[in-house]
Amino acid sequence: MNGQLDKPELGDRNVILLLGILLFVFMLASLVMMSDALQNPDRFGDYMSGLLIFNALGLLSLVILIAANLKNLVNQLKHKIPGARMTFKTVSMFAILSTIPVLILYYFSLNFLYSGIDSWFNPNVEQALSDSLELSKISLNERMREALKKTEQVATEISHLSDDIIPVYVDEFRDRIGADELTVLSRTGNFIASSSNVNDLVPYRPNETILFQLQQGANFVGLTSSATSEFSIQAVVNIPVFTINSEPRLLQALVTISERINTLASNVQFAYGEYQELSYLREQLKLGFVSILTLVLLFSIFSALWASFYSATRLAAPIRNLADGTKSIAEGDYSKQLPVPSNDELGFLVTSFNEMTKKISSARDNAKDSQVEAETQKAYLEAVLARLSSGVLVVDNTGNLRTSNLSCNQILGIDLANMTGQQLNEIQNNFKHLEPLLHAIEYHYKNNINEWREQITLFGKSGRQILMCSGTTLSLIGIETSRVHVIVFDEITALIQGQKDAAWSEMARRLAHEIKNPLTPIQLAAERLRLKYIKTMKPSQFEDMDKLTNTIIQQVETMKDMVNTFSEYAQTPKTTQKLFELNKLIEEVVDLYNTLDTNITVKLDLAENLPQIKGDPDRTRRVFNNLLNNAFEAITQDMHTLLEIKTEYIADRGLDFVEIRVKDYGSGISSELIDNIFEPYVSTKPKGTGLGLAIVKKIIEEHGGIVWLENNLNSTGACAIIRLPAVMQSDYNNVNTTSNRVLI
Amino acid sequence: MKLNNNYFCLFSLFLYLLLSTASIYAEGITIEHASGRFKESFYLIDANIKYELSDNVLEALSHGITLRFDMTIEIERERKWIWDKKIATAILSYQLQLLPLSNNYLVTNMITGERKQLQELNEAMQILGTINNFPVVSETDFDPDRIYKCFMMSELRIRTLPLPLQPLALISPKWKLTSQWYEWTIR
Repeated sequence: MNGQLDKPELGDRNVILLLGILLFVFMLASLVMMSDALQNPDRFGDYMSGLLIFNALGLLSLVILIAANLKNLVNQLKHKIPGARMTFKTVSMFAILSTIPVLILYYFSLNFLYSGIDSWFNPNVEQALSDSLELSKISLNERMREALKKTEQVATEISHLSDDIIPVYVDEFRDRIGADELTVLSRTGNFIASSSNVNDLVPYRPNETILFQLQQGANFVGLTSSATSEFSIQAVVNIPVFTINSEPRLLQALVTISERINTLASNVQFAYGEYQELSYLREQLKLGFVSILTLVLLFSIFSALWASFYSATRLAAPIRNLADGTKSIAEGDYSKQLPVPSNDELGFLVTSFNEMTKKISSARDNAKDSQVEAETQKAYLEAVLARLSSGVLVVDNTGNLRTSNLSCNQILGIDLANMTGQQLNEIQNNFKHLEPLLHAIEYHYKNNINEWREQITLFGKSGRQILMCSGTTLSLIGIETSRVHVIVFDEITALIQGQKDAAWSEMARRLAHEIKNPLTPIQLAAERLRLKYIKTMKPSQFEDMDKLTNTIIQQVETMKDMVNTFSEYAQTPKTTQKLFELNKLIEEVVDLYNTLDTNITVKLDLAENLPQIKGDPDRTRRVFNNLLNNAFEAITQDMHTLLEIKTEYIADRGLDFVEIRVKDYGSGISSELIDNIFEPYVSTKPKGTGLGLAIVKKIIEEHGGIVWLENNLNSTGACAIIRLPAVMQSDYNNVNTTSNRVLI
Repeated sequence: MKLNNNYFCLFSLFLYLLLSTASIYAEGITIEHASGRFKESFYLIDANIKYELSDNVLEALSHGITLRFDMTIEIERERKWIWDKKIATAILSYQLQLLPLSNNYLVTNMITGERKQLQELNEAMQILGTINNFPVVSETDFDPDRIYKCFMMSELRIRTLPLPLQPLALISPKWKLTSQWYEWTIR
C-alpha cells in the first residue's frame, strides 16, 4: 500500500525546491539591483523601497522556512525518527561550514569598508579647509566693516540733503566709496535715489528682514551675490535724522569685492562645501554599504541554512525510507517499494531492498499458496479419514499422538481428538484398557519396525474387542529426524465371532445330517436285535448279547448327547437381553450343585451392591453350570472338597466391570493346554465333549466379556476368571439405546 | 497586574505610533492655496506652498547638501468616455543650499537662473513657497467649450541628492517630502 506513496511527497519536495530556487534567484537579482541602485540610482532607484521590502520578505520567508524545518527536525529528534540525527548532524555541519567563512568575510569586509571610506578623509585637510574658510571670513569681514564704515560716513553726509537734492550727489557718493550701487530708500523700502555702474534696471532692494533690522536701529552689513560677482558686500544703514519732521531714510551700498578675492573665496567655499558634504555622506555611504552587505550576509546564511536543511533531508530521505520499509517488512507488509533516490550507493542499496521485498513477497505468496494447498489436502485427508471405518492413529517419534480420526473414537470409545499432542503414556494412564494397543504401538516404533500387523484384544468399557492393527513408519519430507507412525486398525470382534458361528453352525449341520440321523436307526436296530434274539439265546450267549447291545445303545446315546451339545454350541440361540443380579444367579446355581454332592464345599465370596449385568440370564447360568461342572469333576478326581466363587466390582479409569473368580484346588491345567483350553475338543478330562469351556467362552464373549484360566500361584488348582461389563446406575437410561454396542 | 502592564505597553505603543504619524504629517510640503488666471494670452499660476523640512533634511542642508524642489503643474482636459488628456506639464524648480562662507541660504530658480541669498531659512522657504504669475501654457491651447483641470504638487527631488544619500532617502519617510496633488478646475 505504501509502495508508491512517496510520489506525492517527491512532488511536494520538488515544488519546495523550485520555490526555493525561485526565491533565491529573485532575491539575488533584487540584491544586485539594490547594489546597482546604491551606485547608480537612476536605473533602479525608483524600485529601492520595493526591492528592500522584497528582500525583507524574502529573508522573512527564509527564516520561516528554516524555523519550520528546525521545528520539524526537533520533532523528529524527539520521536527518534530514523534519519533525524543524521539530518541534524548534516545541517549542523553545513551551517558551520557555510556560516563561519561568510561571517569572517563579513567582518573583514566591514573593516575594509570603514577603513577605506574613513581613509578618504584626512583630518589635516579638513582643518586646512576650515582654516581657509575662517580666513576667508575674516578677510571678507574686514572688507564688510570697511564698506559699512564708508556707507555710514556717506549716510551722515547726505543726512542734511533733502530727497530732491540727493539724486544730484548720489553718483559722487557712490564713486567715493567705490560701490557698484548706492541707493537711498525710505524706511519702508521705497527707492528715493539710486546710482549704479551696472546695467540693472531696478536697484537691488533689501529684504524685509534687513528693513526690520534697520527699523530697530541696527545697521546691516552682509554678503550677497550679484549678477557680476559671486560675493558682494551689502551695507544698509540708517541715515541720521536731524529734524523731527524728517522722514527716516536708509542708505544701501553694494560693494563688489575684487575679482581675485572673489575667486579665492568662491574656491574656498566650494572646496569646503564639497568636503563637508562628503564628510556628511560618509556615514550615509557606510550605512548604505553596510546595509547591503548585511542583507547579502543574511541572504547567504539563510540560503545556506535552508539549502543545508533541504540537502540533509534529501540525504536522509533514503535512509528514512529504508527504515520505514524495514519496519513495514517487520510488520508483515512486503508490498513496500521504495523510490530509488539516485544511481549512487544509496540507490543501489534501495534497489537491493526493493528486490529483497519483491522476493520475500513472492516467497510469502508461494508459502501462502502452499499452505492453502496443504490445508486443502489436510481437509481432504481429514474428510477421508473421518469417513473411514478403520481407526487411524498417527504417533510421532517421541510418542506424541498427532492425529486420530473419528473411527478411533468410535472403536476405542474415547475422544482421542482432545488428546492430540499427549504422550501415549499419558493416554495409557488415563485409559488402562488401551494398554495392549498403545503398548504394541510403542513397542513397534521404539524398535524401528517399519511395517507390522498384529491382532490385539482389548477389554474396555464396551467389552472385549479384537482389533486388527497394521502400522507403518513415514518420514516427513525434508526432516530426517522427524518420523511418524501411522497405525490403522479395524475391530474384527464381530467378524471373528461371525466366522466362528458360521463354522460351528456348519459343523452342527453336518453332525445333524451325517451323524445324528444314522444314530437313531442304529439305536433302534440294536434294541430290536436285542429283543428279537435275546430270548432265543442261551444264557451264556445272552450275557454277551445283552452287554454288546447295551454298549451300542449307550454309545449311541452318548453320541446323541455329543451331537446335541455341538448343536447347542453352534447354534446362536435367541437371547433375551435384560438386567439381572449376578450374585443371585450364582447362588441358584451353587444351590443346585450343593444338593448333588454334599462332600464338596462351595465357598461364596459375593460382593455386596454388585452392579447388574445386562444379558441373557439363562445362557449366563449355563456358563456357571459348565464351570461348576468342570470344577466338580476336577475336584472329584482329585478328592479335594473346596470350591471358591468370588464376585467383585472393579472400576478402573472409566471401566466398570464385574469380575467372577471360580477357583478350585484340583490338579490345575498343564501349560500346553492353558493357551487353548477354551477351544472346542480341548479338555483335561478323559470323558466329556471338550465343549464346556468353549461354550463358556462363547457365551461370555456374546455378553461382551472376557474369560481366561490361570493356575493358582500358591496352591494347586486353577482359577477361571470372567469379566463382564457392569451396568451402572447412570447407564440405565442409555442401556436400551447402547445395548447393541455394549454387547458386541 | 501583569495584564495592566500589558495594556500599558499596548497603549504606549499606540501613542508612539500616533505621535510618529503626527510628526510625519507635521513635516512635509503643503500647498495652502493655488489658483490660476488668464492674463496676456497666458494661463498664470499663483500659489502659496508651505515647506516644513524634517530634521534629516535640515541636517543634510546644514552639511552643504543642495536640495532641489520641483513644483509640477499639469493641465488636463476632461473627456467623458476616456481618461482625461494632458495638454501641458510645467515644472518650476528651485535649488536651496547653504553657503558656508556667508551662512546665507542661496535660492536658485533653475529656470531663470535667478539667485537669492537669504540670511534666514524661513525667508528662503518663503521664496520657495511663493509663486506669482508663473506662466504654464498659452491661452490658445485652451478650448473655451471644454473644461480643464489643473493639478499642482511640490516635492523634494531625491534623485538630485548625492548618490550615497539617495538609497537612504528613497526608503526613509523622513526624506519623503511630497505634497498632495492640489486640484482646481479651469473654466
